[in-house]
This record gives sequence, structure tokens and C-alpha cells, in this order.
Amino acid sequence: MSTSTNRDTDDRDRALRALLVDTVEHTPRRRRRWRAATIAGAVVCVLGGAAAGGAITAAASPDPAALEAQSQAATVVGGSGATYLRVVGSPVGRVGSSDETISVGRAPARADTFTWVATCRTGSGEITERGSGVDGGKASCAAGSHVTGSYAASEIAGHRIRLSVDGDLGWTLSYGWLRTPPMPAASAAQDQATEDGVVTRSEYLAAFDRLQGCMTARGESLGRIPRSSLFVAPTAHDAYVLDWCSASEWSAVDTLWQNEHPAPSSDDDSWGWQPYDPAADPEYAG
Amino acid sequence: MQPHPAAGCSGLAVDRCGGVEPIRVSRTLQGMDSGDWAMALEGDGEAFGRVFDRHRHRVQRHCMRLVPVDTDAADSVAIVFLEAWRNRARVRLVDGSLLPWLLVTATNVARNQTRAARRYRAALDRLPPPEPVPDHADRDDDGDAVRALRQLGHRDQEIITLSVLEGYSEREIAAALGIAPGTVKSRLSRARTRLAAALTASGPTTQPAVEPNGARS
Repeated sequence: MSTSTNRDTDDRDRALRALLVDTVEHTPRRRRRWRAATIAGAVVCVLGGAAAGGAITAAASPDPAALEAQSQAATVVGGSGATYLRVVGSPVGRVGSSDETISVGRAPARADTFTWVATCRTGSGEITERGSGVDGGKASCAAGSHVTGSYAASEIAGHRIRLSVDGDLGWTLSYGWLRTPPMPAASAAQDQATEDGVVTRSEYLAAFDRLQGCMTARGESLGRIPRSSLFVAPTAHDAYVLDWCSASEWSAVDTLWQNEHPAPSSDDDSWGWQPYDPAADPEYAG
Repeated sequence: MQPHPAAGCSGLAVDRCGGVEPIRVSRTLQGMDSGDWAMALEGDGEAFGRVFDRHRHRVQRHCMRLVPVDTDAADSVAIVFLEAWRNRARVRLVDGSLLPWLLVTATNVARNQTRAARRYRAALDRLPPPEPVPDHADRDDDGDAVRALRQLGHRDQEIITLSVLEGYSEREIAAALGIAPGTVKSRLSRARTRLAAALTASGPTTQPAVEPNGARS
């Protein structure tokens, strides 16, 4: 018998392996990806602050840009990831125009992520990163844009991150530690709804009600979310409260429900937003 | 006969009462994943390739247990590893092994093959077509126990897979699933009960007896 089951390696295995290798090697690494949208606000603060504050402090300080970089470091580091990440300790901010080495040191208590953000102030060129003894990649950077990266605390604590700069780049570098607040386990009610592996419409909506209740209890609101569509999609201003309440009341139920209602092959990305029709869903309508 | 991880789907040991016992398999190579995984996260594709080399047979065997007979287990294997990479920030290594996480992912992929395949359709279409499986009997889905397993909810499948089929401890399962060990205990108990009920409903087993160490009689 010759099947794909019992051969050591076949063409498909080799092709799949090559695909996986290629996928990894062409994945932009989180540590150096551009996050223009995420930290735009922080950068605006930095640049704006530098423009305003620089004029005020120029007479008294030989390097107002450096002072401004330090004063804004916590804002930049704190704005580099999810909104609910918390800055731990005192982030560092500095300016320069040549290679730079960050000595990371020990992680403070409860810190789980180390983040750096390089904002290119003048010129253009490439920043090459090397951290934990492993060569990183390059990222282009021009004035006004920024490069950022982050590491798990367990990965980088006690190591150094070396940023090599070519071209005529002048940069502001901010770095520091972040903490991810804890998330709860699924509530008993959510466990009960999913333990048989089936989520009915009533269980789905009940879980959504619990999610709303959880949000309300924490001073947040989901607003008016239509409950008539096949999928219900909550959003909220406070991402942490939403993530917290979702972990407790919603995520597993929602995942099962969506798995029970897979999109048809003809889906044009509108699947899930159509009105729910119990008559068409007898298996789960209960 | 020595226990062999590629012993096929019939890795469920079924006793006369319909209970199931875990089969212990050697996992000496599994702990090697942590280094390769760390290197893969640094952009080393070959490191991820080594993870694939190490686990593809186990993942494929598990997929063939659970995917519907009219779907392609080879696609499932590809999706599992692509999902592992896509969700790399959430991957949990258990004692340095990625295998438990891959098996849990395979369980979920098998339950929702069509939806999962849509995400990777373009990539899957670039792969050579898999060798056809000649007939249903060649798939690892024979046996009352596996048929009963396929009837369970996905949470039951996850925990039965890790505990009964793969022989992981409650501590290891807790780490793989990100739940408390006490939750593993209670969830496993319920899953075993439901599996036994499903086995009873499906009639006497026709599967060869399997010793707890994996050897077949």
C-alpha cells in the first residue's frame, strides 16, 4: 500500500516543509515591525513636545532633544503595544546618530515584555537589530518614521540588544519594560456552556448577556450591539476590560458558535452579519 | 512488539467495561522543540522545518483519526503547522515540546476543516496534490473507539487525545490547554464517561486489543 500516511517523505511533505520554512523566513518579525498606527499618537506627543519644549529649554540645556526624549520615554514605550499594557519602572529615552547598545538588565517584578522604539529624526537609512545573540533583520527608517520591537522578558533579560545604524540617521530611542495585566479563566457559566462541545443560540446570547454584565460591572459599556445577526461582535473603548470580560464570559462560547457556523465557500466577507434565521439552523437554534 | 508512535489510529485501549487507558509513548525527541521554536521565532525557517520533521507523522496520524472521510487529512496537516505559525504568540510548549499544542490545534482544525482551509487556500493550492488514499480502510478511522471519539465535543476530543491517545499527564495537559490541573481532572472524567457511553452505544469493539504500553496482542 502506498499512501501519504506511511511514506517517510513525499513530494507534498517536501513542498509543505519548504512552504513552512519560507513562511517563517518571510514573516515580518514582531520585534522590528512598523507600528505606525499603534504608536502614532505617542510619536506625535514626542515630536510636538520636542518642538514646543525644545524652544523653552534650549537656552538652559545643551541637548534639549535628549531631555525631551527622556521625558517622553514612558509615553512612547507605553503606547507601543496594546492599550492596557502597563509600563513598569522608568523607561529610558535618548538621542543619537550612530550604533547603539541597550543593556537590558534584569526584568522588574511582574514585567513580562521588553520594548524598544526607535524614532528616526533626521536623514534616512537602515537599522539592523541583534538581540539575545541572534542576528535580527533590517528595517528602513526615514525621518518621522519609527521602528519598534519587543521581547518576552524571559528571552531578553540580562542580554543586550544592539542596533546598528547605517546612512545618516539621527534617532530617538525609547525602551523599557511592560506588564500585561492578568486575564481570568473562563467562568463556570462559560465552562458549562461549552463542556458538551455544542453552543446553542440561547447559550450564545446568554454568554453575550454575561459579557455585557461583566463590562457594566467594570464601568464599561458595549453600547448598542445588534443581537439579531448570526454573529455578535462586541467592541469597547477599554480594550483591557473587553479582553478581560471576554476571557471570562465570551471567548470560548463565541469560538464554538463561529465554528458551528462556518462561512460558505462563496463568502464575500459578509458572512456572520446576516440576520439569524433559527429555521435555517435547527441543530443549534435551541 | 515495541510501542510505536505510528501504530495507527487504534491507539485507544478499550477494556471490557468500555473504559480507556492511556498508551505511553516515547517522547524523548519532543523536548527538542524549545530551541528550534526560539530560533524560528527569530526568523530561522529551517528551525521550524525541523519541528515539522519531528512531528508531522504524529500530527498526520491524529488528523486522520478525526477529519471527515471526505476531506483531506494532508490539508489538515498543512493547516495545523500554518496555524501554529500564525498563532505563534499563543503557542504553549509543554516541557519543551510543541506536540501537545499541535495536537490540540489538529483537533480543532479537523472539526472545521473547510473554514480553516479557506484561510490557506492559496498556499494549499501551491502544494502538490496528496497521494490518494485507496479506500476508506486505509484511513486511520476504523474501530469503535475512534468512531466514538469522533462523536464527542471538541473539548472532549482535545482532552481524550492528550490523555488517552498520547499519554500526557494532567499537569502536562493543563499546561497545553492553559487550564488548571483540577479542571483537567474533572473535564477528563466527564470526557471518559461520554466516551464510554458512546462506545457502549456503538456496540462491541472489533478493534484489536492494545496493551497499556502500546503493544498489540
